[in-house]
Amino acid sequence: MVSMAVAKRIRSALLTLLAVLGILLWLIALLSFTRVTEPNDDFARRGLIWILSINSVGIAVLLSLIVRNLWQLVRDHRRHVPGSRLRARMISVLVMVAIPPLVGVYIFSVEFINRGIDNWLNADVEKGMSDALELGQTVLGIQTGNRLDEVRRFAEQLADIDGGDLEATLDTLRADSGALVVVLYGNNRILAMSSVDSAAEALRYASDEVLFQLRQDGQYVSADPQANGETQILAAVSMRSPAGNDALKFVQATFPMEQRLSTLLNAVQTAYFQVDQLTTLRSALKTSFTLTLSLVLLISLLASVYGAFYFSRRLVTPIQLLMQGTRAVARGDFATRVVSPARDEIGFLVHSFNDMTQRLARASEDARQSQQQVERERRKLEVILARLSTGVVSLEPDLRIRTANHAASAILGVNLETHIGDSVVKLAETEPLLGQFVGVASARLQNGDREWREQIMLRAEGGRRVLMCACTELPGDTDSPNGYAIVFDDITALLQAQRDAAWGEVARRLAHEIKNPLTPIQLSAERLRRKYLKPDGAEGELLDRATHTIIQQVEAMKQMVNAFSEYARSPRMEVSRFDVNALITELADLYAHQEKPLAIKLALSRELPQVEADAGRLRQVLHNLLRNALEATEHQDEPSVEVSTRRIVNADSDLLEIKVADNGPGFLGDIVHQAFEPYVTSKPKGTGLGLAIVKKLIEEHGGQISARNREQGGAEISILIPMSVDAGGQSLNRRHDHRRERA
Amino acid sequence: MTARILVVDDEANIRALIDEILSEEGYEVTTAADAKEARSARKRQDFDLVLLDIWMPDTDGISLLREWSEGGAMGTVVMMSGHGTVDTAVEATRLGAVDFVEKPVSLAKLLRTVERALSVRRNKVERRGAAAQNAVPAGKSQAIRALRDQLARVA
Repeated sequence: MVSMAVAKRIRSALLTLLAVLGILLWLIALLSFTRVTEPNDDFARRGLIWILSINSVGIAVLLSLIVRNLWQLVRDHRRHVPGSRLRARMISVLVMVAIPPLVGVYIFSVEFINRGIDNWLNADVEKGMSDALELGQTVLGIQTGNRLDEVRRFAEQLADIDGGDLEATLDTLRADSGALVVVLYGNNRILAMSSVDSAAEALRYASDEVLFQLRQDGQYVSADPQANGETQILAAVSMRSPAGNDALKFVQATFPMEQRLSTLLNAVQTAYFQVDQLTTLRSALKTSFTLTLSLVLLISLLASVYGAFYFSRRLVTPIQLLMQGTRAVARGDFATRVVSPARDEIGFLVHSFNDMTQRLARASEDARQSQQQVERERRKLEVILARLSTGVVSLEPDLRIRTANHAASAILGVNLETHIGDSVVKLAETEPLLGQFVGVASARLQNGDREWREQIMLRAEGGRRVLMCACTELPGDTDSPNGYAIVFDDITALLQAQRDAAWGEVARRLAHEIKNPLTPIQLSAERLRRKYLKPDGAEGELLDRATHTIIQQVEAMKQMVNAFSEYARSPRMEVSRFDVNALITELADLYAHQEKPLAIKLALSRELPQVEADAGRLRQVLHNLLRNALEATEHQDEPSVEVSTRRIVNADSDLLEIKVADNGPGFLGDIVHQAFEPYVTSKPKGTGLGLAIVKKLIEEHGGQISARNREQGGAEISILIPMSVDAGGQSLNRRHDHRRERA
Repeated sequence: MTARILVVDDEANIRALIDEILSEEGYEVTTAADAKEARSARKRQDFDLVLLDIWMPDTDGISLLREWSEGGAMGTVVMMSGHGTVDTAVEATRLGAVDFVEKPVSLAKLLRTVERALSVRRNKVERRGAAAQNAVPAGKSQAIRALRDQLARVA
């Protein structure tokens, strides 16, 4: 990430450097181009090809950049890339704005330069220059003419003189005329000479040109520039030789030309030549300027077009980013941040956008968190509800199930959790236990009773179930309820426990209040027997019978109170492993050998493993059941009692079933439903505690007991207990759990 | 040497009857209606045997037994109760009672228990040994024992 950013920065720096270099190179090239117009510049001539190529490369680079950008723009436009339309419009506006002034300046410049050149180099200037030159030459001619005349005068004067006066005359003439040197030649040698200084040495011999001219015309004049920059006028005139021979005699004098005249003449001459040259180069100059300007125009145009692309990109990029950001936000992605490119208004916009998305992100995060918290709370509540032993069902206003916890399902015997959303009324049609429950609840709700508490009695297979049920309406938006929450507890066990406790107290009191008075009764009766019972005599017989009855009845009352106490007590279970079949067989034998033998049919399962239970309790159970059966069949012609055992293995339970059936009169009417309630009996002598005790003992094993009348007549009691009493989780009866908790 | 027996029971009839029966058998019997009388009787003289009812108003028999047990000189005590559970019997035995009689008690059983308790005291031997010595069960006593066994099993 960091390395990428660094690489990007280095690349952009390199690009900038290249661009600056290119522009510098181009500027240098253009500046150099202007020097091409100077005709004698060799460098310019040689550099022309380079300059042109540099410019061409520049143009090519710009063109390729522009073409690439244009292609991208067209592609983006076709693909409807956000911002491409804006960019296209921007570029066209920028180009439109940039091109006309450029073109205008170009046209004006070309026109101006062409006209200027024409103006500078028109015919008047040329004429003026040639006139000035002619004037200079004329002036020069006059000057040289004058000097020639002077030398001619010298010659006339010197012609008459001979001998030694020559030198003096020459000096005089020279001094008068202002000549630098005056030399008199004759017979190819210097006859006399006068000079200002030693400079005359150079004129010892006359030049061939002078001699040639003298022979032709007899005179010579010339204006010669000197090494020191001055111009000297050399004039020579031949003298008529009296001998008439070939030997030429002449006077030669050198005069300084007037300094100012000389300079002016030189300047005019130079200027004339230059103007002449420019005139010949005029069209080349025009072409050169026009070409330069055209190149500048072209490059400026291209640069401005590229600049339009470049700046439009710089302007549009943040807008594109903003658009992408907006789309991302619209999609719900609040984490988007747009990189702020500048500190201008767009930068401010981007900053505001980022601020907004950040707030949105925070808000959505807050919302998410609070949602999560709500979800967490809901789950917590769900767990609590699931663990609750109280059944909780919430219903929609139309009595469809909204939620139900595990306890509700367990209590009502229907897996309500799989019927969420179903109508509870419809579900109740197939589930009898739920049906009874719903019957009460829906009746209440239909009456407009929305907040109520009621104890509901359900008739279940294993006996009655008592539910403490409370209903409350769930708060809705308006007056109509949003549904109902029904909370119910299986208080059968609680009621049973309360009843047990009450009976326990009653038993204790009964024991005291009955057994205490029984003590003196029994003791008195026995005392009577002991004191007055003689082995003989009728009176003795009466006493014997009477006291015996008293003692017997006392014993019966004691038994009854004891039985009642047994029912009320619940001491600790003593669990061991034993063979139930053996226990049953043993008991059956016991009954077979009584004074009034009872044949008990045994149908015992052979595959019964040892059961884990309280043998004493089970013996008591079977004892009570067999005694009941015995008493029930007392008046039958063919008394029949049948005991059967069976093992029932289910997916989650391993149960022992014991059935005791008889062919007696069976349960009378409604008693079959209350057979296991205390003091409910169909026997004339029954205490009504036998089956209640049996039920209690079976429940202590976590089992179930049920009673029914057989179709062929007689009663049948079935017992279901777990094969292992310690497998508490498989407890068949919830009441057992309560009981264990209490123990 | 006549054995001295203290009968503690809140029921006047029972007190009187047991007094009469035991006196006829030749024992010297003192009666007490509640814990207070029992305490003062024991202060006046030593008893060879105390027949102590459990259910009494104010201080019950077990509390009184514990009091005597903690006091050290407890003597021989037989508990009597109409609603005796195995737990109370065990508790009483733990506190030092030699036997436990269930009301209503039969005459024979009462006499036999008294005799056995006294013999325990007399011989100053271990209670179990004494019981074994005396335990030549008659038919009736066997029935009662079976009943007690049954009771213990069911309870």
